[in-house]
Amino acid sequence: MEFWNGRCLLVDLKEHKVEDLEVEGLISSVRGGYDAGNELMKEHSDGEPLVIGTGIYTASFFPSGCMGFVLWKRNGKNFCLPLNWFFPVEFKLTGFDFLVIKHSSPSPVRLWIRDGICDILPAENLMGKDVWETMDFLKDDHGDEKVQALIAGNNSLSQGYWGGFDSNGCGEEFRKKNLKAVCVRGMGSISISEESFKKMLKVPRGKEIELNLSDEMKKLIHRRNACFNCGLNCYPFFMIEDDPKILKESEKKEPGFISLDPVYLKDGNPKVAMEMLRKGSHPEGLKDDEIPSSFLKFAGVEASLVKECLNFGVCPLFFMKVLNGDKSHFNF
Amino acid sequence: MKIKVETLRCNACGICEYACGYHRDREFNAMSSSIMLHRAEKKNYFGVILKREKDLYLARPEGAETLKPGESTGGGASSKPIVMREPCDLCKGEEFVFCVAVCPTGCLQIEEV
Repeated sequence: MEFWNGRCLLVDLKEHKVEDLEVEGLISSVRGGYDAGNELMKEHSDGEPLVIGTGIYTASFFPSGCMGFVLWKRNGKNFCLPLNWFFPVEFKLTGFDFLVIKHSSPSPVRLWIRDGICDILPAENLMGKDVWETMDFLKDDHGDEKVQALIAGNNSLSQGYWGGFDSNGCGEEFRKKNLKAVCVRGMGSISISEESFKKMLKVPRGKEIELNLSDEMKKLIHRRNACFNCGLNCYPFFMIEDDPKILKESEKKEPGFISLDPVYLKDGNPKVAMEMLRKGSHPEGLKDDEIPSSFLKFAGVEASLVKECLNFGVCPLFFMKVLNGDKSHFNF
Repeated sequence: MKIKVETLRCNACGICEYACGYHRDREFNAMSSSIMLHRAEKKNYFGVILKREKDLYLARPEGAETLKPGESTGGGASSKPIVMREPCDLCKGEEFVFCVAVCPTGCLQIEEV
Protein backbone atom coordinates (compact mmCIF):
# COMPACT_ATOMS: atom_id res chain seq x y z
CA MET A 1 0.00 0.00 0.00
CA GLU A 2 1.77 3.15 -1.19
CA PHE A 3 2.71 5.64 1.58
CA TRP A 4 1.32 3.43 4.36
CA ASN A 5 2.11 0.34 6.37
CA GLY A 6 -1.59 -0.49 6.63
CA ARG A 7 -1.05 -1.49 10.29
CA CYS A 8 -2.30 -0.15 13.62
CA LEU A 9 -0.80 -1.10 16.95
CA LEU A 10 -3.39 -1.63 19.67
CA VAL A 11 -2.10 -1.51 23.25
CA ASP A 12 -4.32 -2.39 26.20
CA LEU A 13 -2.56 -1.03 29.28
CA LYS A 14 -5.02 -2.66 31.70
CA GLU A 15 -4.39 -6.17 30.38
CA HIS A 16 -0.82 -5.42 29.24
CA LYS A 17 -1.66 -6.81 25.80
CA VAL A 18 -0.47 -5.75 22.38
CA GLU A 19 -2.27 -6.45 19.11
CA ASP A 20 -1.44 -5.73 15.46
CA LEU A 21 -4.50 -4.58 13.47
CA GLU A 22 -4.78 -4.40 9.69
CA VAL A 23 -6.19 -0.99 8.70
CA GLU A 24 -5.74 -0.83 4.93
CA GLY A 25 -9.51 -0.81 4.46
CA LEU A 26 -9.96 2.02 6.95
CA ILE A 27 -7.19 4.11 5.36
CA SER A 28 -8.66 3.61 1.89
CA SER A 29 -12.10 4.74 3.06
CA VAL A 30 -11.12 8.14 4.47
CA ARG A 31 -9.33 11.28 3.29
CA GLY A 32 -6.13 10.79 5.28
CA GLY A 33 -4.44 10.13 8.59
CA TYR A 34 -6.35 12.59 10.76
CA ASP A 35 -9.72 11.25 9.63
CA ALA A 36 -8.55 7.65 10.07
CA GLY A 37 -7.39 8.50 13.59
CA ASN A 38 -10.83 9.83 14.43
CA GLU A 39 -12.43 6.65 13.13
CA LEU A 40 -10.12 4.65 15.41
CA MET A 41 -11.20 6.87 18.31
CA LYS A 42 -14.83 5.88 17.64
CA GLU A 43 -14.06 2.21 17.09
CA HIS A 44 -12.22 1.91 20.42
CA SER A 45 -14.36 4.32 22.42
CA ASP A 46 -14.99 1.65 25.09
CA GLY A 47 -11.41 1.98 26.36
CA GLU A 48 -10.84 5.75 26.78
CA PRO A 49 -8.53 5.63 23.78
CA LEU A 50 -5.61 7.83 23.03
CA VAL A 51 -4.69 7.63 19.35
CA ILE A 52 -1.28 8.54 17.94
CA GLY A 53 -1.25 8.76 14.16
CA THR A 54 0.51 9.82 10.99
CA GLY A 55 -0.58 11.28 7.67
CA ILE A 56 -0.29 10.16 4.07
CA TYR A 57 3.08 11.79 3.41
CA THR A 58 4.55 11.43 6.89
CA ALA A 59 7.90 9.72 6.22
CA SER A 60 8.10 10.43 2.51
CA PHE A 61 9.93 12.71 0.10
CA PHE A 62 7.14 15.29 0.29
CA PRO A 63 8.84 18.38 1.81
CA SER A 64 7.90 18.88 5.48
CA GLY A 65 6.30 15.41 5.60
CA CYS A 66 7.07 15.25 9.30
CA MET A 67 3.67 15.63 10.92
CA GLY A 68 1.63 13.40 13.16
CA PHE A 69 -0.88 13.87 15.95
CA VAL A 70 -2.33 12.64 19.21
CA LEU A 71 -6.11 12.44 19.63
CA TRP A 72 -8.11 11.97 22.83
CA LYS A 73 -11.40 12.92 24.46
CA ARG A 74 -11.96 14.76 27.72
CA ASN A 75 -15.43 15.34 29.13
CA GLY A 76 -16.91 14.30 25.78
CA LYS A 77 -14.89 16.85 23.81
CA ASN A 78 -12.35 15.98 21.11
CA PHE A 79 -8.75 17.17 21.44
CA CYS A 80 -5.80 17.05 19.09
CA LEU A 81 -2.12 17.71 19.66
CA PRO A 82 -0.15 18.12 16.40
CA LEU A 83 3.33 16.57 16.47
CA ASN A 84 6.25 17.72 14.34
CA TRP A 85 10.06 17.32 14.61
CA PHE A 86 11.00 13.61 14.19
CA PHE A 87 8.68 11.44 16.31
CA PRO A 88 5.99 10.86 13.62
CA VAL A 89 8.56 9.80 11.01
CA GLU A 90 10.36 7.44 13.37
CA PHE A 91 7.00 6.02 14.47
CA LYS A 92 5.76 5.33 10.93
CA LEU A 93 9.02 3.59 10.13
CA THR A 94 8.47 1.18 13.04
CA GLY A 95 5.89 -0.52 10.80
CA PHE A 96 2.73 1.10 12.16
CA ASP A 97 0.69 4.09 10.97
CA PHE A 98 -1.40 4.39 14.13
CA LEU A 99 -1.16 3.53 17.79
CA VAL A 100 -4.29 3.11 19.91
CA ILE A 101 -3.66 3.07 23.66
CA LYS A 102 -6.63 1.84 25.70
CA HIS A 103 -7.37 1.87 29.45
CA SER A 104 -4.84 2.57 32.21
CA SER A 105 -1.94 0.59 33.51
CA PRO A 106 -2.01 -0.45 37.18
CA SER A 107 1.64 0.59 37.48
CA PRO A 108 3.83 3.13 35.60
CA VAL A 109 4.90 1.93 32.18
CA ARG A 110 6.58 3.06 28.98
CA LEU A 111 6.19 1.74 25.45
CA TRP A 112 9.18 0.79 23.28
CA ILE A 113 8.19 0.35 19.64
CA ARG A 114 10.51 -0.69 16.79
CA ASP A 115 10.73 -3.27 14.00
CA GLY A 116 7.01 -4.01 14.07
CA ILE A 117 7.02 -4.93 17.75
CA CYS A 118 6.06 -3.20 20.98
CA ASP A 119 7.20 -3.81 24.54
CA ILE A 120 5.30 -2.54 27.55
CA LEU A 121 8.11 -1.88 30.00
CA PRO A 122 8.04 -0.88 33.67
CA ALA A 123 8.70 2.81 34.29
CA GLU A 124 8.83 3.05 38.08
CA ASN A 125 12.47 4.08 37.72
CA LEU A 126 11.43 7.07 35.62
CA MET A 127 8.81 8.45 37.98
CA GLY A 128 10.11 11.67 39.48
CA LYS A 129 12.64 12.12 36.67
CA ASP A 130 12.25 15.22 34.53
CA VAL A 131 11.86 15.14 30.74
CA TRP A 132 15.57 15.53 29.98
CA GLU A 133 16.58 12.84 32.47
CA THR A 134 13.94 10.56 30.98
CA MET A 135 15.08 11.21 27.40
CA ASP A 136 18.71 10.61 28.38
CA PHE A 137 17.68 7.31 29.96
CA LEU A 138 15.68 6.21 26.91
CA LYS A 139 18.51 6.99 24.47
CA ASP A 140 21.03 5.16 26.67
CA ASP A 141 18.74 2.21 27.40
CA HIS A 142 17.88 1.65 23.74
CA GLY A 143 21.43 2.37 22.60
CA ASP A 144 20.53 4.69 19.77
CA GLU A 145 20.85 8.46 19.54
CA LYS A 146 18.07 8.55 16.96
CA VAL A 147 15.26 7.22 19.16
CA GLN A 148 12.40 9.67 19.56
CA ALA A 149 9.96 9.80 22.43
CA LEU A 150 6.81 11.44 23.71
CA ILE A 151 7.30 12.02 27.42
CA ALA A 152 4.80 13.05 30.08
CA GLY A 153 6.35 16.05 31.79
CA ASN A 154 5.24 18.34 34.56
CA ASN A 155 2.08 19.71 32.93
CA SER A 156 2.48 18.71 29.29
CA LEU A 157 3.62 16.15 26.76
CA SER A 158 7.14 16.76 25.49
CA GLN A 159 8.50 15.68 22.10
CA GLY A 160 11.88 14.48 23.29
CA TYR A 161 13.95 17.22 24.91
CA TRP A 162 12.35 20.17 23.20
CA GLY A 163 8.80 20.46 24.47
CA GLY A 164 6.04 20.93 21.98
CA PHE A 165 2.67 22.57 21.81
CA ASP A 166 0.79 20.70 24.51
CA SER A 167 -1.30 23.21 26.40
CA ASN A 168 -4.51 21.22 25.99
CA GLY A 169 -3.92 18.27 28.29
CA CYS A 170 -2.23 15.50 26.34
CA GLY A 171 0.39 15.02 29.05
CA GLU A 172 -2.44 14.73 31.56
CA GLU A 173 -3.95 11.90 29.49
CA PHE A 174 -0.60 10.07 29.59
CA ARG A 175 -0.51 10.48 33.38
CA LYS A 176 -4.09 9.16 33.73
CA LYS A 177 -3.00 6.05 31.88
CA ASN A 178 0.14 5.67 34.04
CA LEU A 179 2.10 6.03 30.81
CA LYS A 180 5.42 7.84 31.23
CA ALA A 181 6.67 7.68 27.64
CA VAL A 182 6.24 6.26 24.15
CA CYS A 183 9.63 5.65 22.61
CA VAL A 184 10.18 4.74 18.94
CA ARG A 185 12.95 3.94 16.47
CA GLY A 186 12.02 3.45 12.83
CA MET A 187 14.16 1.14 10.79
CA GLY A 188 11.48 -0.12 8.41
CA SER A 189 10.42 0.81 4.90
CA ILE A 190 7.54 2.67 3.29
CA SER A 191 6.50 1.93 -0.26
CA ILE A 192 6.79 4.90 -2.63
CA SER A 193 6.52 4.48 -6.39
CA GLU A 194 9.12 5.95 -8.69
CA GLU A 195 6.44 8.15 -10.23
CA SER A 196 5.53 9.59 -6.81
CA PHE A 197 9.18 10.02 -5.90
CA LYS A 198 9.81 12.13 -8.97
CA LYS A 199 6.65 14.18 -8.47
CA MET A 200 7.59 14.87 -4.85
CA LEU A 201 10.96 16.22 -5.97
CA LYS A 202 9.10 18.83 -8.01
CA VAL A 203 7.23 20.21 -4.99
CA PRO A 204 8.77 23.58 -3.97
CA ARG A 205 11.13 23.18 -1.03
CA GLY A 206 11.17 26.70 0.43
CA LYS A 207 14.04 28.40 2.21
CA GLU A 208 15.04 29.49 5.68
CA ILE A 209 12.40 31.70 7.31
CA GLU A 210 12.93 34.93 9.25
CA LEU A 211 12.69 34.48 13.01
CA ASN A 212 10.74 36.86 15.21
CA LEU A 213 13.22 37.11 18.09
CA SER A 214 14.74 39.85 20.20
CA ASP A 215 18.30 40.95 19.41
CA GLU A 216 19.43 39.38 22.69
CA MET A 217 17.98 36.01 21.76
CA LYS A 218 19.41 36.24 18.24
CA LYS A 219 22.89 36.59 19.75
CA LEU A 220 22.48 33.16 21.37
CA ILE A 221 21.63 31.29 18.17
CA HIS A 222 24.06 28.49 17.47
CA ARG A 223 22.91 26.53 14.40
CA ARG A 224 19.37 26.34 13.13
CA ASN A 225 17.53 23.04 12.91
CA ALA A 226 14.57 21.84 10.90
CA CYS A 227 11.99 19.15 11.29
CA PHE A 228 12.35 16.08 9.10
CA ASN A 229 12.76 16.89 5.39
CA CYS A 230 12.26 20.63 5.67
CA GLY A 231 14.37 23.63 4.76
CA LEU A 232 12.54 26.33 6.71
CA ASN A 233 14.90 25.92 9.68
CA CYS A 234 12.26 27.08 12.16
CA TYR A 235 14.24 25.90 15.15
CA PRO A 236 17.33 27.74 16.37
CA PHE A 237 19.42 26.14 19.09
CA PHE A 238 20.09 28.70 21.80
CA MET A 239 23.58 28.18 23.18
CA ILE A 240 23.53 29.60 26.69
CA GLU A 241 26.29 27.68 28.51
CA ASP A 242 28.92 27.90 25.77
CA ASP A 243 30.01 30.18 22.93
CA PRO A 244 27.21 30.39 20.32
CA LYS A 245 29.93 30.45 17.67
CA ILE A 246 31.41 27.12 18.74
CA LEU A 247 31.71 24.62 15.89
CA LYS A 248 33.26 21.64 17.63
CA GLU A 249 31.11 19.56 19.97
CA SER A 250 30.53 21.42 23.22
CA GLU A 251 32.12 19.90 26.28
CA LYS A 252 29.23 21.13 28.41
CA LYS A 253 26.67 18.45 29.20
CA GLU A 254 23.67 20.66 28.52
CA PRO A 255 24.86 23.75 26.66
CA GLY A 256 21.49 25.03 25.47
CA PHE A 257 18.11 24.19 24.03
CA ILE A 258 15.61 24.22 21.18
CA SER A 259 12.01 25.20 21.82
CA LEU A 260 9.56 23.58 19.40
CA ASP A 261 6.81 25.94 20.61
CA PRO A 262 7.97 29.59 20.39
CA VAL A 263 5.70 30.44 23.33
CA TYR A 264 8.42 29.19 25.71
CA LEU A 265 10.50 32.18 24.61
CA LYS A 266 7.84 34.82 25.19
CA ASP A 267 9.36 36.39 28.32
CA GLY A 268 12.80 36.56 26.68
CA ASN A 269 14.62 34.70 29.45
CA PRO A 270 16.43 31.73 27.90
CA LYS A 271 17.35 30.15 31.25
CA VAL A 272 13.71 30.11 32.32
CA ALA A 273 12.72 28.57 28.97
CA MET A 274 15.38 25.88 29.32
CA GLU A 275 14.19 24.94 32.81
CA MET A 276 10.57 24.74 31.65
CA LEU A 277 11.59 22.47 28.78
CA ARG A 278 13.65 20.33 31.14
CA LYS A 279 10.65 19.84 33.41
CA GLY A 280 8.05 19.56 30.67
CA SER A 281 6.19 22.64 31.92
CA HIS A 282 4.30 24.32 29.12
CA PRO A 283 4.01 28.06 29.87
CA GLU A 284 0.31 28.19 29.00
CA GLY A 285 -0.74 25.42 31.38
CA LEU A 286 -3.89 23.44 30.73
CA LYS A 287 -6.42 25.05 28.39
CA ASP A 288 -9.55 23.77 26.73
CA ASP A 289 -8.51 24.30 23.07
CA GLU A 290 -9.26 21.46 20.66
CA ILE A 291 -5.92 22.28 19.00
CA PRO A 292 -3.43 24.32 21.07
CA SER A 293 -3.68 28.04 20.29
CA SER A 294 0.12 28.35 20.23
CA PHE A 295 0.27 25.81 17.40
CA LEU A 296 -2.34 27.74 15.40
CA LYS A 297 -0.30 30.90 15.96
CA PHE A 298 2.97 29.17 15.01
CA ALA A 299 1.48 27.77 11.81
CA GLY A 300 -0.59 30.87 11.06
CA VAL A 301 -3.66 28.87 10.04
CA GLU A 302 -7.15 27.94 11.18
CA ALA A 303 -7.87 24.66 12.97
CA SER A 304 -9.65 23.21 9.91
CA LEU A 305 -6.52 23.63 7.80
CA VAL A 306 -4.38 22.03 10.50
CA LYS A 307 -6.66 18.97 10.33
CA GLU A 308 -6.35 18.86 6.55
CA CYS A 309 -2.56 19.05 6.78
CA LEU A 310 -2.60 16.28 9.40
CA ASN A 311 -4.53 14.14 6.94
CA PHE A 312 -1.53 14.49 4.63
CA GLY A 313 1.22 14.58 7.28
CA VAL A 314 2.47 17.92 5.97
CA CYS A 315 3.44 20.91 8.14
CA PRO A 316 0.73 23.60 7.90
CA LEU A 317 3.32 26.38 8.24
CA PHE A 318 5.19 24.96 5.23
CA PHE A 319 1.89 24.47 3.40
CA MET A 320 1.02 28.14 3.75
CA LYS A 321 4.46 29.75 3.44
CA VAL A 322 5.84 27.66 0.59
CA LEU A 323 2.85 26.07 -1.16
CA ASN A 324 0.61 29.14 -0.64
CA GLY A 325 -2.18 26.91 0.64
CA ASP A 326 -2.49 25.21 -2.74
CA LYS A 327 -3.92 21.73 -2.12
CA SER A 328 -3.22 20.64 -5.69
CA HIS A 329 0.31 19.86 -4.49
CA PHE A 330 -1.17 16.98 -2.45
CA ASN A 331 -2.39 15.12 -5.52
CA PHE A 332 -0.28 12.21 -6.69
CA MET B 1 32.37 14.20 -10.12
CA LYS B 2 32.04 13.88 -6.34
CA ILE B 3 29.74 14.95 -3.53
CA LYS B 4 30.83 18.01 -1.59
CA VAL B 5 29.27 18.86 1.78
CA GLU B 6 28.86 22.45 2.95
CA THR B 7 28.50 21.27 6.52
CA LEU B 8 27.28 24.49 8.07
CA ARG B 9 24.33 24.55 5.69
CA CYS B 10 23.11 21.23 7.10
CA ASN B 11 20.01 21.54 9.29
CA ALA B 12 19.89 17.88 10.31
CA CYS B 13 16.63 17.27 8.45
CA GLY B 14 17.75 13.75 7.59
CA ILE B 15 16.16 13.33 4.14
CA CYS B 16 19.52 12.59 2.45
CA GLU B 17 19.71 9.18 4.15
CA TYR B 18 16.33 8.19 2.70
CA ALA B 19 17.15 9.47 -0.80
CA CYS B 20 20.22 7.25 -0.85
CA GLY B 21 18.16 4.36 0.49
CA TYR B 22 15.68 4.90 -2.34
CA HIS B 23 18.48 4.58 -4.87
CA ARG B 24 19.43 1.24 -3.31
CA ASP B 25 16.03 -0.30 -2.54
CA ARG B 26 13.32 1.72 -4.30
CA GLU B 27 11.66 2.08 -0.89
CA PHE B 28 11.63 4.80 1.75
CA ASN B 29 14.21 3.56 4.23
CA ALA B 30 17.62 4.57 5.44
CA MET B 31 19.12 1.25 6.40
CA SER B 32 21.18 0.77 3.25
CA SER B 33 22.17 4.38 2.78
CA SER B 34 25.78 5.32 2.05
CA ILE B 35 25.24 8.65 3.79
CA MET B 36 24.44 8.97 7.46
CA LEU B 37 23.42 11.90 9.62
CA HIS B 38 25.32 12.04 12.88
CA ARG B 39 23.59 14.04 15.56
CA ALA B 40 24.31 14.73 19.21
CA GLU B 41 20.91 16.33 19.69
CA LYS B 42 21.37 17.77 23.15
CA LYS B 43 24.55 19.58 22.10
CA ASN B 44 23.32 20.63 18.67
CA TYR B 45 26.32 18.97 17.08
CA PHE B 46 25.56 17.42 13.70
CA GLY B 47 27.02 16.58 10.33
CA VAL B 48 27.07 13.78 7.79
CA ILE B 49 29.29 10.81 7.04
CA LEU B 50 29.57 9.55 3.48
CA LYS B 51 30.98 6.14 2.70
CA ARG B 52 32.96 6.31 -0.52
CA GLU B 53 34.78 3.61 -2.47
CA LYS B 54 38.10 3.95 -0.66
CA ASP B 55 37.45 6.17 2.34
CA LEU B 56 34.96 7.82 4.67
CA TYR B 57 34.13 11.48 4.16
CA LEU B 58 33.35 13.07 7.52
CA ALA B 59 31.60 16.38 7.13
CA ARG B 60 31.81 17.83 10.63
CA PRO B 61 30.80 21.38 11.52
CA GLU B 62 34.43 22.26 12.24
CA GLY B 63 35.42 21.08 8.78
CA ALA B 64 35.25 18.17 6.39
CA GLU B 65 37.95 15.52 6.36
CA THR B 66 38.69 12.24 4.64
CA LEU B 67 39.60 9.13 6.55
CA LYS B 68 41.15 6.00 5.17
CA PRO B 69 41.01 2.63 6.95
CA GLY B 70 43.34 2.60 9.94
CA GLU B 71 43.36 6.36 10.47
CA SER B 72 42.19 7.94 13.71
CA THR B 73 39.15 10.16 13.94
CA GLY B 74 39.88 11.64 17.33
CA GLY B 75 36.57 10.20 18.49
CA GLY B 76 33.04 11.26 17.70
CA ALA B 77 31.13 10.88 14.53
CA SER B 78 32.75 7.91 12.85
CA SER B 79 31.74 5.06 15.14
CA LYS B 80 28.62 4.25 13.13
CA PRO B 81 27.47 1.11 11.35
CA ILE B 82 28.28 2.53 7.94
CA VAL B 83 31.34 0.41 7.18
CA MET B 84 29.28 -2.62 6.16
CA ARG B 85 27.22 -0.64 3.67
CA GLU B 86 27.75 -0.14 -0.04
CA PRO B 87 29.88 2.89 -0.90
CA CYS B 88 28.35 5.87 -2.68
CA ASP B 89 28.23 5.25 -6.43
CA LEU B 90 26.94 8.76 -7.21
CA CYS B 91 23.58 7.20 -8.04
CA LYS B 92 24.91 5.19 -10.95
CA GLY B 93 22.15 4.52 -13.46
CA GLU B 94 19.91 7.34 -12.18
CA GLU B 95 19.12 10.61 -13.94
CA PHE B 96 20.58 12.63 -11.07
CA VAL B 97 22.17 12.21 -7.64
CA PHE B 98 19.26 11.67 -5.28
CA CYS B 99 20.71 13.02 -2.00
CA VAL B 100 21.79 16.24 -3.70
CA ALA B 101 18.37 16.61 -5.35
CA VAL B 102 16.39 16.27 -2.10
CA CYS B 103 18.66 18.33 0.17
CA PRO B 104 16.55 21.41 1.04
CA THR B 105 19.45 23.66 2.04
CA GLY B 106 22.09 23.06 -0.63
CA CYS B 107 24.34 21.44 1.97
CA LEU B 108 25.00 18.56 -0.43
CA GLN B 109 26.43 19.61 -3.76
CA ILE B 110 28.04 18.08 -6.81
CA GLU B 111 31.64 19.02 -7.40
CA GLU B 112 33.24 18.33 -10.76
CA VAL B 113 36.77 17.03 -10.38
